[in-house]
Amino acid sequence: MKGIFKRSTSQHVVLAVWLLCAVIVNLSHAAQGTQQAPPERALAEQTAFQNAINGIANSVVRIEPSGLSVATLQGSREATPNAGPSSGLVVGSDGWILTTEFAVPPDIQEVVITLPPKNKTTDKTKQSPQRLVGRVIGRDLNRRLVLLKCDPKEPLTEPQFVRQKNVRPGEWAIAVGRVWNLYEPSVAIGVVSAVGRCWGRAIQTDAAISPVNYGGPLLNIEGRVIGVIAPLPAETAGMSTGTELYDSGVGFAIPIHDIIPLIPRLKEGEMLKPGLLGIGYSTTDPINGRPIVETVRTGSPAAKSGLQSGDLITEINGQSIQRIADIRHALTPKLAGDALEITIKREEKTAPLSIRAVLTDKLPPWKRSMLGIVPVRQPSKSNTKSTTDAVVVNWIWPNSPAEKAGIQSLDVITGAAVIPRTNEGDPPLRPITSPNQLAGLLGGLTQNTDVVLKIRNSKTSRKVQVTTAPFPERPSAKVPAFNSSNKAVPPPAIVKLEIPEVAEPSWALIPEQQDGPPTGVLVFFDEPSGALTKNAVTIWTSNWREAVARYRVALVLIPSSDSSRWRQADLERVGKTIGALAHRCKIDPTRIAFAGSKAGGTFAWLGADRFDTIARGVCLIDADIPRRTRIRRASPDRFRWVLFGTTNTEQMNQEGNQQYQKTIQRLREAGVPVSELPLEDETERASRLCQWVEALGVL
Amino acid sequence: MTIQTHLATSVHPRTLRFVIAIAVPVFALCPIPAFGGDITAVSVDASSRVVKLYGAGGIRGLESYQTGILVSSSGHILTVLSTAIDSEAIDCVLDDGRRYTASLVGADLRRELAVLKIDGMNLPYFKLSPDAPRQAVGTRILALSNLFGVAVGDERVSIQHGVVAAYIPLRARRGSHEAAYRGDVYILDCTTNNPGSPGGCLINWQGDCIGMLGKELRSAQNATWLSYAIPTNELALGLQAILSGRDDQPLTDKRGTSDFDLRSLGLELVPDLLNLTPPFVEAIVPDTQAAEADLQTDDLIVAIGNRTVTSQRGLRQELSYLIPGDPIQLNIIRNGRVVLVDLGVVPSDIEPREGKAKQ
Repeated sequence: MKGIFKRSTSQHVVLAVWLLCAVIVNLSHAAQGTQQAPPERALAEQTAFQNAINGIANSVVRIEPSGLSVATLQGSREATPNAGPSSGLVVGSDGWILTTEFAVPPDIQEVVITLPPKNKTTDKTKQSPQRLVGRVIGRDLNRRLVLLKCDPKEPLTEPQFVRQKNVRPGEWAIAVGRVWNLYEPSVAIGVVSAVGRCWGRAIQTDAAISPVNYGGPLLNIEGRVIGVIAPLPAETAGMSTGTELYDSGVGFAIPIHDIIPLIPRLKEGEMLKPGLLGIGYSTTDPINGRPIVETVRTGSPAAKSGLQSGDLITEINGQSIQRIADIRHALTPKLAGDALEITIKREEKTAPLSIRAVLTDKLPPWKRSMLGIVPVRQPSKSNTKSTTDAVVVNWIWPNSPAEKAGIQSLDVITGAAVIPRTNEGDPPLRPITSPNQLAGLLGGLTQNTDVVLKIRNSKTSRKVQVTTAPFPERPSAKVPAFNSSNKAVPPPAIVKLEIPEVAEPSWALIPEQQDGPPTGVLVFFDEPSGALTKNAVTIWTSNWREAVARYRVALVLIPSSDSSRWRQADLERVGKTIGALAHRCKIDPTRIAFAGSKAGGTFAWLGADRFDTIARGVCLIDADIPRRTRIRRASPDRFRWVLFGTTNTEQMNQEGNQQYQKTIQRLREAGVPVSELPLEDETERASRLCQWVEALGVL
Repeated sequence: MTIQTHLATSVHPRTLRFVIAIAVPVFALCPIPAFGGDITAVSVDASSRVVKLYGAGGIRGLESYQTGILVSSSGHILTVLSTAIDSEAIDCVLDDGRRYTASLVGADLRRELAVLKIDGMNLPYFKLSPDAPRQAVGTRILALSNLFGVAVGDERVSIQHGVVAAYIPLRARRGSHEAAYRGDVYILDCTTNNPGSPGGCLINWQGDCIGMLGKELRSAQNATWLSYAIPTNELALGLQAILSGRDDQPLTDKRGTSDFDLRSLGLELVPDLLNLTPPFVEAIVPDTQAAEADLQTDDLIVAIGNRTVTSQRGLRQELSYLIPGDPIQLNIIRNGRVVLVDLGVVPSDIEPREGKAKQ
C-alpha cells in the first residue's frame, strides 16, 4: 500500500487545491448535491430517449379485455376474465392496430382499445381518452401477432419504421407501452441483445419486457420502430407461453420488416399459420447433424415436391445450409403457403437439383406403417463401423407384406425407393447401407404406399415391390431367439451403473458374449423402494435371466431416490444411466423401451415423454398414464409403441380397467400403436417383454 | 481522470481517511465534490449521503436491513417505515464505515416514511424540496441502496441504473401487502424491489436526489412486481410533517364504501335473485343519463372501466370503488357484439357510507 505522503510534489499541490476547493464546495453546495455539468453523452442519450418516447406516443395504444368471451356468447353468461391490460401499435391511420396474442387470446374476438389523448397532458380531470372496440381481423399464429381494427373519429398517427433492415446487437433498444398511465407511454431502456432469435423470428433485448409493453414498439435511438414486442417462447428453456420471461433480462420483438409484408394479408382477414414441410432427419442433434433428409411424410409438401430420403439440402431460398439447425432457421419464420426453393444434392456426381415446395399448415395425419422386415441389429453409428454395407434381414414378421413378397431371413437389402403416387415410372433407388437409413426412408410413409426394394441373396439379385401395411399393435409371439443353436448360452451378468452425481447406483442385467450383436435395452421402474443392493437385484432378476440371454436385451433397474415415491429428479438420470450402459455393452438405439409396474408404470410413461427421442416403446403394467396428460399426435420423429400389461386379468376387468381403456382409445386416435398384453406369469412376462424389445426394430 | 476520482479509486480508503482526519476535521465530513461530472463521481458523491440501516425484523421472512438518506448535516435520516426499523437500537453505517446508533424521531403514516437521528456533525446530506420538479419519463436514473445487504462496513451502497419508466399514482395490489401511500410514484425499468432496497436513494445523472425506493409490492393492474420510488417533493412534505410533529394520517380510502347505484342514472337491472344473476338491463328511465347514452333493454354489462364483471354482485362491488368524479364507462354486449357506453362521471352527491371501510 502506498501512503499518500510518498506521492510526488505535484500530487501534493493537487491535493492542496482539492482541499481548498472542498472547503468552498462544502460551504456553498454541501446540502444541494453537486451541480456539475453531467456527462454530455449521457444526457444526449437521455434526450434521445425522451424524443423517441414523445415521437411514438401517439402511435401506442392500450388494449384491454372487453369482458366478452366465447363463454358469454354461448350463454353460460359467465364472462371469463383474461389477461390484464397490454399495449398495441398503430399500423394504419384508419384504425389498424397491431398487438399480441397475450392481449387477444385465441377465443377472443373483441377488445377495448384506448387511444392516446389528443393533447399531451397529465391533467386527469380533463376528458378521458377515447375508448373504442377493436375487432380481430387477422392473426399471425407463427409470431403471436394480432391485427385489430377500430373506427377512430380522427386519423391515427402512424409510427416511423426503421429504414434499414439490419438491426445490430448492442444498439440501443427502447421498449414502449401504454399500461401504467393512459396519458403518457411508459418506457424501458436496454440494448439489442441478439437478432435472429427463436429460430429466426425475433430480436432479443434486455430492456424490461412484460405484459405492460407486449404489443408496443421497440425503438432504436432515433425513435424509429425496429420491432413489435411479443411474448415468444424460448423453447430451449422449456418455456411455452413466452410470458415466463418477464423482467428476466430476456425479451423478444418481431422485426418490423418481417411484419410489414404481412399486414396486407392480415387486413384481408387471413390466419397466418406456421409453414410445415414434412421432413425428418436421422439425428436429433441439429448442430452437428448434416442436413440430409431421412424421412419424407406421405402427402406432405416435401413428398409432393419430389424430395426424397437421402437428399442433401444445400440451400433454401438462397441461404446456404450447412447443418440441420440452418434448415430450422430458414423454415421457422415461414408461413403456410410460402414457397421454398430448395437446392439439393441427390447423388454425389450429379449436379445440384432445385426443388420447389409450398408449405402447408397441416400435415396429413400420420400413422406408422410397416413392411414386416426385422433387420439384423446394428450398434449406433458412433460405436463401431458397420459390419456390413447393407441391411441384412434377420426375420420376417408373420403375414406381413414382406413375407407375402417372398423376402426371407438373410436376404440383403441394398437399395430402396418410394414410388410416388403420381407414378412417373420407377424412381432412382437410394443405396441403403444401414437399417437406420431404411428406417428413415420408410418412417414417414403411411399404409398403402408402394416401395421398391433391391434385394440380394446368395443366388440372385432382384427388385421387389412391396406395399406398406398398418403397423401391428400386438408384439409377435414368433420372435426368434438368439443363440437358438444347441450351444450353451453363457449366463447374463449383473453390473452396477454409477453416475457421478447420483448416490444410488442403477443396476443392469446384461447378456454375455460381448462380441455378439448389440443388445436391446429395457429400462424398468418398479414400485418405489429406494436404493437396491446387489442381492436384491439378483433375486429380482432371477426370472429374467433366460429371456435376457435368449433375446439379448439388457435389463436396467433404476432405484427411486425416495423409498416411498418416484421423483422428478429420478427421471433426469435415466438418460445418463443409458449412457453408462452403453459403455458396458454395445446397444441398439432402435430397441430401447421403458417399462414399469404400478407407480413405476406411470413413471415409465413420464420417462418416455421426457426422453421421447430415445424411448421407442413404453409398457405400463397395472398402471395408467397420469391424468390430464396431453397426448401428442404420433409423428415419425418421436415414434412410440405403447403396451398396457395386466398381471391380474380378473381384477383388471373390474374397475380401474375403464380408465386405461379410455387412454388406449385416446392413443389410437392420436395414431399411436397401442395394445393390451396379459402378463400374469412372471417368467412369461420377462420373455414377452424381451420379445417386444426385439420387435421394436421392425420396419 | 479527475482528482477526486483519482483519489477515490487509487488510494486505499483508510489512508484517505487518515489524511483527511489530520488535515481539518471539517473536510473529513464534507462530500467529495464531483468536478468532472462523470457518472462515477456523481454516484460516489450521492452514496456519501446514503446510509445502511440494520434493525429488527428478520422474522417471517421480513428483512432486518434497509437503506436511508441523510437529510441534515446533524444526522437526520429519512427512510421507509417498516418492521426493520421497528427496534430499540438501529445500527446506521455511513459509506466510510462509521457506525452510529440511530433513534426513531417520528413517522409519517400517510407516506410510510420514518425519520431517524444519529449524533453527527457536518454530515453530507440531501436537501429535499417540496417544489422538486417532476422527472420526465425516460430520465436516466441511478438507484443507490443496501441491495441484499451486500455492502458491508465502509463499502458504498450498490448502484443500479435505469430510466423513469412511468409516473403514476401508486396502486399496489389489493391484498396483504397494501401500501398506505396513494400519491404519485416513479416506476423504474430496473429491478429495485429487492431486500435491503427500501429507503434507497434515487438520483438523476446530474446527481439530484429525485426520490426514495419504496417497499416490495406487486401491481394491482397486472400482478407484476413493482419497482417504484416516492418522488422528492412528497419526501420533503413527509420530512416536514415529522419534524414539525404534525400527524399526517393515511388518507382514508373511501373507495370500496360507496353506495353509488346505476339506478340513480336511470338504469334498472333484472331482479337479482340468484348468486350470479348476470347484470342484464331490464329498463331504461326516459330522459336520464342512461337513456341519453343510448343504453337499451337486454344489454348485458360485462365490464366497468377495465374491470370485468360477471354478476350483479360483482358489479355492485366494482361500483362501490367509484368516487365522485370517476368516469363511468361500461362495456355492454348487445346482439353478440361489444358496445362501449360512456355514462359521464360519478355525481358529487354520492356520500360514502361511514364505518364500513374495507381493507
